[in-house]
Amino acid sequence: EMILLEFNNRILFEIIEQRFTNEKRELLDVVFADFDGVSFHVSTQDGEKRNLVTVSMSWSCCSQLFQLGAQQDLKKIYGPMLQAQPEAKYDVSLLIDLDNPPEDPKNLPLKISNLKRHVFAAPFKKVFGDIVNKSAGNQIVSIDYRGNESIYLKPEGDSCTVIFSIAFSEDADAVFAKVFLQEFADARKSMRGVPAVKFTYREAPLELENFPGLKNVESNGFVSMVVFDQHLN
Amino acid sequence: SEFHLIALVFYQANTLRPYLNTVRHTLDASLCLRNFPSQTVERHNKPEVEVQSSKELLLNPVMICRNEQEKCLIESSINSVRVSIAIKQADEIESILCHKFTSFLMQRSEQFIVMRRKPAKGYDLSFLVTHMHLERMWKHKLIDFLIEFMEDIDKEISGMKIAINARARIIASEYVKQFCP
Repeated sequence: EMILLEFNNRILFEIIEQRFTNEKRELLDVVFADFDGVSFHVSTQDGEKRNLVTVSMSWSCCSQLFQLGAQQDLKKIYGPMLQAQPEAKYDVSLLIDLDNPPEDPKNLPLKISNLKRHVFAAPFKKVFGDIVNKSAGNQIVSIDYRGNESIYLKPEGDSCTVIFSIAFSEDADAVFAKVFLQEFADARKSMRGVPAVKFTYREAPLELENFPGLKNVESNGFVSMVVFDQHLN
Repeated sequence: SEFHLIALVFYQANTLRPYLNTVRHTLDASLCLRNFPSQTVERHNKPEVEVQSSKELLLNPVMICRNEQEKCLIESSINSVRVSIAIKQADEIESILCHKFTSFLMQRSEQFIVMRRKPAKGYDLSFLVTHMHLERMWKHKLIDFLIEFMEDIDKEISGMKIAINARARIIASEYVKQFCP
């Protein structure tokens, strides 16, 4: 009944999986897209050395995410596979040696196909980690993950307010959003530990009132959720 | 207070039957149509209620109001009657549902034969009944259809709204499960 999207990229997963299971190694040069304007490029850069597969990703907010700790996270996760210099026109590249995998090849399809997820998770890990360690400041973090939509993280003591800005192509969509979010807010009455949620349309949410990095106030809807360290642990 | 709410619901429910009965009787009186070739253009036959060119062919329009929002306008003429209805829209979501639903129906107005492709100004849906329709259809059945339509459209929109809320509840609880182990 429910369609729950997976976190990793299915196309990337299958390409890497097939590369390890196929004995034949053809030249590879695939470009494909993911949500949020992300594009991937998987290729064998050197025709002679078809065991070396390059996986590159381009995403407009990558530089923002790198500043928020993504670079370190990727180094920890991908180790020697992470390339110091990404491929031209891309923001991050991984190099996989099919003959010399850095770990059990069974794990690699999932790990590689989670590249976008790992990059995206970095600021959340950092802010939530700081809150659990009680070392969080008050600085608001912006993640402009799409052209006209952003996510803001506002730590406050032992809680974090996460604000999603949503661009609606029609006013009617905003009305439907209100209905869904009202149900979300009502869920708090029957279940414990549900984060508080608020919705504002075409006006800045209270939490971001004087924030200079706030974009698209006159056109977007804003969903604010407050998560506590019980959720973050 | 609770009593006030119950009294209000009872009163509203109480107005439905008199409202529909009044509409029925008015339609019964208005739907006495006959063929009337156009007085202004030779060999043409037009619904006079739409053309509105000759005053003597038009009757006084009757508006039947259930409340400020819900009403029915019946405009009659010698060879045609236009029936326009304003549908109850209590909130934004009912407004969107009503608009989408009526657009859907009006795009397929040929299937309904007597439905107008555009509503009259100030109303959500209009019907145009001509003498030709009455020659082919039973008058009392046609009136039954119009009255049933008015009743059912409210039920449809309420049903759709309930379905939306139910779906929203399912989605919200699925999402929220991730926060509460």
